Amino acid sequence: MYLVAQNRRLLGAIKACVIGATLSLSACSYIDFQRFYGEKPEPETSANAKPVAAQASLKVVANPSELDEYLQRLVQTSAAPLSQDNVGYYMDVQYATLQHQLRDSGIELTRGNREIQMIMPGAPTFEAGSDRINPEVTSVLSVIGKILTEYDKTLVTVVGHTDASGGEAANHALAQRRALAVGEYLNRQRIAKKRLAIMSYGSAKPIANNDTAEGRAQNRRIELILKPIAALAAK
Amino acid sequence: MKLGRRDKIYLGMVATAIAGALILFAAIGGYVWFQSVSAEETRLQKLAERIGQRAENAIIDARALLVELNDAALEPCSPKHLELMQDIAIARTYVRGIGYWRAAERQCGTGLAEHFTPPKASRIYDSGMIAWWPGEETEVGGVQLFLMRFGRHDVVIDPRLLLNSDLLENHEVGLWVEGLLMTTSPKGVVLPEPETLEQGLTVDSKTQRTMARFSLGTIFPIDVVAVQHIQEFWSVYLPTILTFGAIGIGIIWLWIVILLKFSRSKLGLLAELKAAIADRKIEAYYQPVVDLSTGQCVGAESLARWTTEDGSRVGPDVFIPLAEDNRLISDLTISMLHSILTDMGDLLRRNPQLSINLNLSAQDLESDRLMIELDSAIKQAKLKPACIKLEITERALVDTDEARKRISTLRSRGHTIAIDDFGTGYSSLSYLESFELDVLKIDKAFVDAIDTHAVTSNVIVHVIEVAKSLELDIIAEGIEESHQASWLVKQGVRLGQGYFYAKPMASREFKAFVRKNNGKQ
Repeated sequence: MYLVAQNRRLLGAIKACVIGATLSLSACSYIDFQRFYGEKPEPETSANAKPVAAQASLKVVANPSELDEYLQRLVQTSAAPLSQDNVGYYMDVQYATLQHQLRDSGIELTRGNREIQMIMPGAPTFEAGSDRINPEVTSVLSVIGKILTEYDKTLVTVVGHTDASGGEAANHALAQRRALAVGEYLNRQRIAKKRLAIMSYGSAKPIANNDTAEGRAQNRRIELILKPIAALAAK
Repeated sequence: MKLGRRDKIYLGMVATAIAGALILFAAIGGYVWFQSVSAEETRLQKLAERIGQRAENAIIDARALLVELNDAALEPCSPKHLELMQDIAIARTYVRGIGYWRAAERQCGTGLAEHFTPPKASRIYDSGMIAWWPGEETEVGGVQLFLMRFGRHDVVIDPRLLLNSDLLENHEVGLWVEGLLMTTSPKGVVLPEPETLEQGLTVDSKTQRTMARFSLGTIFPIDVVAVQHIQEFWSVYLPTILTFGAIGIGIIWLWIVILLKFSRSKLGLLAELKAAIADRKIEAYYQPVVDLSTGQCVGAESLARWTTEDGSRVGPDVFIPLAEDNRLISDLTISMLHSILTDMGDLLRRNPQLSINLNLSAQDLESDRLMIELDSAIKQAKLKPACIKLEITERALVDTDEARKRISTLRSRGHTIAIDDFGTGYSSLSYLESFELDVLKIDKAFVDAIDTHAVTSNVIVHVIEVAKSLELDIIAEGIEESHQASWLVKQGVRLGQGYFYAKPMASREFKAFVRKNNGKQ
């Protein structure tokens, strides 16, 4: 069985310290770069800082197949794509690092076969109808950005979702603006533009009940999907 | 073939002996087996605990050293960083290498410089610790290594060193951590998965192996499986088994000896006695009775003497009670009667003044059997009843009308009735008077009281008086000294027997004794 560890949703700070399985460490902090890497962390970049790469927009894909096409092009044009043999190790190590660093953040991590999925809880990320990233979330995005600069052989797809209030077109547009906001933030965290893809599902893929305020808050979310920049195994 | 009573008894004895021996053997065998298995189990339990503890300590240590390296805040791959990695590796025998990585690229490190990037982690813990159990991807020089990575550092562990080979002896041992095989000793041996085994020691008779599984669950689950060929197990416990085997055989031997002794002394003796009576193997011996004043032999008391087939002599104090207890005494009496008539027929016919005393027991007077046998045998031998005197012990004089009537009948036929061992019972004079008797025999115990110059007990004086008052003839038994004889003569005792005159003797000797003593044929 392939082991898929999963952080429990929503700010389970104390719980996360406790559930750390048999080999878990006592450290519970997740932004302790100095401890983890033996380096000084990069100076924090605020969400309100002036956009660095606003002029060049990020790649927007409409659906998963467009995303795959983009990924394949990226593999072909990449100077040093990830070798097929290393994909498993690379994704395992990256996943474990994210797991450790994001353990108290409330971000839900899932290890798929060839991808890592991160669901960022909606409510703390955006206010209803807004594409402005909540300041508390920026520190978490900084952590993610830091890790992604080390693991630079992954394509980061930012997927936006909204709740069901409002029209479909408007929701789609809002979700895309939200994804874009996060993508641009990550770009400012030194994630190369070509590694970033933007996708919107609008309100089409709810994960909670849209009839309650709480459910709607959960549906206003961003998903990050990490895929290795490596050729698919030859058929 | 029909089984006789004797055969049945022997068969029973043999069956009992075998059953007893088997039960003993099974009990001892079971005990030894249980002891050996539980001793082995205890031993293996301790071994497993030590192995498990060692493995666990190593893994905890590896985890701690990874944390220490990540916390060190040193310039990556700087001399200080490399030195720290080296120091950590050198201090631990099981650490084959430490590496510093960026993503999937090893930057620097110490020890084994292999770039292990196995495609699939065995475990990813919530803490961010990753572990790859030994496998093909981590194999170097035929050794599959155990990897752990945390953050940017990894550590390569040689799992063989988690099993302390000194402790293993001849066992095939496997170490499982979190249900995954870590290592085996010897290398590459295929052992059963822990889940397929019961906890503790089991003996698989099919594959002739002992298999032990011990699960330790301290910080993370560890299973130790130890397999051994049953021969190894036996060789370890052979001294114990031999010791107990020897004790067992000793106990069984003792059991059989006791059983045989018991059977020979009781059941076997009885069977032999029966056979001896039936086969007329019980000889009649004769102790002469003499006239104390003249020294002339007037007859003899017949005594039964039994020599068993193996040549040993069984005393009458043993076989007479045995015969009485088993209602064989009449058979014995009749057998004696026939012996007397065979041995002494001629002598008695030629010397009608002689008589032979035959001892009767209480059982002889309970039925007419002896009466009939006595009558026909004497007639057949062409003798007169007077030549057979009948001795009845005082205790055998049972107070029944039948016994009384039979004594009276025997007497009327012409037999003389003597009361034996007089004075040793508790009969009152009036009781004795109620029987028709002729002779009173004084027990040796009273004759012994006749000292050189005086009588140490007056009982004999009274006994003689009683006999006289009942108008009974007297025979004194157990005369050993001449002064006893002369004292008795003075008291008017006419007859006596004892070693002073003659010991009991075989028929031929008795005839010679009569010839010599009485001076005529």
